[in-house]
Amino acid sequence: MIEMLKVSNLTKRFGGIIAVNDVSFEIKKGEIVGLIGPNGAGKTTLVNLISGFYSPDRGKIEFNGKNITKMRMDERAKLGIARTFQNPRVIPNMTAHMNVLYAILGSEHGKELTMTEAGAEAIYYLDLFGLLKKRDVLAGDLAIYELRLLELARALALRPKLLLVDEAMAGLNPAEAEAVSKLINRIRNEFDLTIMWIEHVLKVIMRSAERVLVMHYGRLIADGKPEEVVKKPEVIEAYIGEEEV
Amino acid sequence: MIAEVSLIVAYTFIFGSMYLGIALGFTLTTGVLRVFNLAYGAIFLIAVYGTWMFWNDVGFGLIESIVLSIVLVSVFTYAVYRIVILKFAELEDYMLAALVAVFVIVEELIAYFYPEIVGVYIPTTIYGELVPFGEANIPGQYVVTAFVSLALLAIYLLFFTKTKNGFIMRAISQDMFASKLVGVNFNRTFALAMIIASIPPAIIMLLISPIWALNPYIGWSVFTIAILVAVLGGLGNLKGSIMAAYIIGFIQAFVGFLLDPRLMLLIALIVVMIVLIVRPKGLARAETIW
Ligand SMILES: Nc1ncnc2c1ncn2[C@@H]1O[C@H](COP(=O)(O)OP(=O)(O)OP(=O)(O)O)[C@@H](O)[C@H]1O
Ligand SMILES: [Mg+2]
Repeated sequence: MIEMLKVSNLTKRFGGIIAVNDVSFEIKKGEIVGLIGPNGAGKTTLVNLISGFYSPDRGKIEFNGKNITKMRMDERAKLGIARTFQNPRVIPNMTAHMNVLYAILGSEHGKELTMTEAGAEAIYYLDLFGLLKKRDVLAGDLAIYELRLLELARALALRPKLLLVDEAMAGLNPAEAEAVSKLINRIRNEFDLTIMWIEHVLKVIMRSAERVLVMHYGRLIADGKPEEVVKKPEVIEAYIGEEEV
Repeated sequence: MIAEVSLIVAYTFIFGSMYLGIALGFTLTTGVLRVFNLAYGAIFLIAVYGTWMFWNDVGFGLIESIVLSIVLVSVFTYAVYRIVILKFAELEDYMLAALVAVFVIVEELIAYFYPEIVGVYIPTTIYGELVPFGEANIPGQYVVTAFVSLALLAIYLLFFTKTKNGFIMRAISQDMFASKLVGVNFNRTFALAMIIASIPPAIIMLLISPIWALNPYIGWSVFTIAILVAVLGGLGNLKGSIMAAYIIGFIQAFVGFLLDPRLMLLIALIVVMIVLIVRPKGLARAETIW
């Protein structure tokens, strides 16, 4: 297997806070990697750096062998990096269908489609996530569960190679969380995705991820198989007072 | 009396359609891109004085000069985007002030090189005969301008509501961040939409220029009409703009033929003010362009 994502010595400061501190890791094609860590550990910032929302103060990001450190967000999306948000960010004044349609039209493969074909493809993705009935509802009127699904549908509609999921289960009840987790596992198999998945619910990450990265105060403190990582003393220490590992 | 009725009906159509053409780009920039582009007034001037410069001073053919002046309008619009709109994206009042300043600078530059006493005449007359309508005879060039306006409206409406690029252009202003996220090159798309919106006023102005006496300050009166139509229409909704354009066209035709031509703009302004007091958001809701 070849490495799809290679992050080297990545650093991002906000004033006095070093949100991401000299982080290096690789993700291979087809892997599903969990990213965990206490609140404020720097997980979201790391995703923001990889997706191009922020540019790093130091370090390098390579995607399929290409240096993308200085690339714009839209260029990275076109290369195949898609993401979801801890706080869903869809376009509230557009319907669920239009939100997904927008992703298809923006993506590289959308250039070859007619408006009708793109519309049909958007329906396909909505259906995949059980949102068909909500197609004409404004995204701003959707419930949090539906927003999480819509974000996944939109991300998938870009036909990404790498999907970055930032807390897909936050704010959901256990049944909804289970459904989302099943869907992520399903799309990963069906669409041949590589996934980096941030989650607070460790049980889910332990079950779904083949590898887990642990961050604490901006640093990467562990990288390995889930069952090995949770036994590491520094990981247990990081989580003391946070939650049960 | 019958003649007056014919005139009012004919000129309601002529003025209304023409004003729609004049306001089309402004309505689209406010509705689609959410920018109140006060530099829009300069486009009218650049279109005609640009053509005049290339044709009369440089010596190009008329068609080449028109094409070059439209290129100049596009370059100007792009520069306005890069230099003003992008820079002041977060500071709206400064942006508005800067946009007006750009308009005035263009106006003063043109007034310097082509002062009012210099007769500027561009032979863009396509049909110079009179067209009979009921009891009235209408200059053919007015009729041409009205139909070109309507054709532009139809083309732009189809583009923005039915095509992929039109959809993307309508979506970008909703959320810059979400746009980048789905792979849309925000700056390029925005600039392109602004340039597309700058073409209709240039074309309409070139068509009317043989009928209206040109002077370097004509931009303001034409731009006032564009603002009136856009504001009365609900800032961005094209259905609203269509209603607004014909209402203003009717007022002007009515006042022009039955009262006093010198009151045409004043009474239109007063009526629009009164309508806006009753309906501050204009005639149509501006969330969508159609
Ligand atoms: N835009 C920003 N400006 C200033 N500080 C920021 C910004 N974004 C993140 N931070 C800070 O950087 C640190 C890391 O934040 P980040 O959101 O990456 O953590 P996280 O691991 O995602 O936390 P959580 O589990 O709560 O989502 C925090 O101290 C946060 O306050
Ligand atoms: Mg976070």
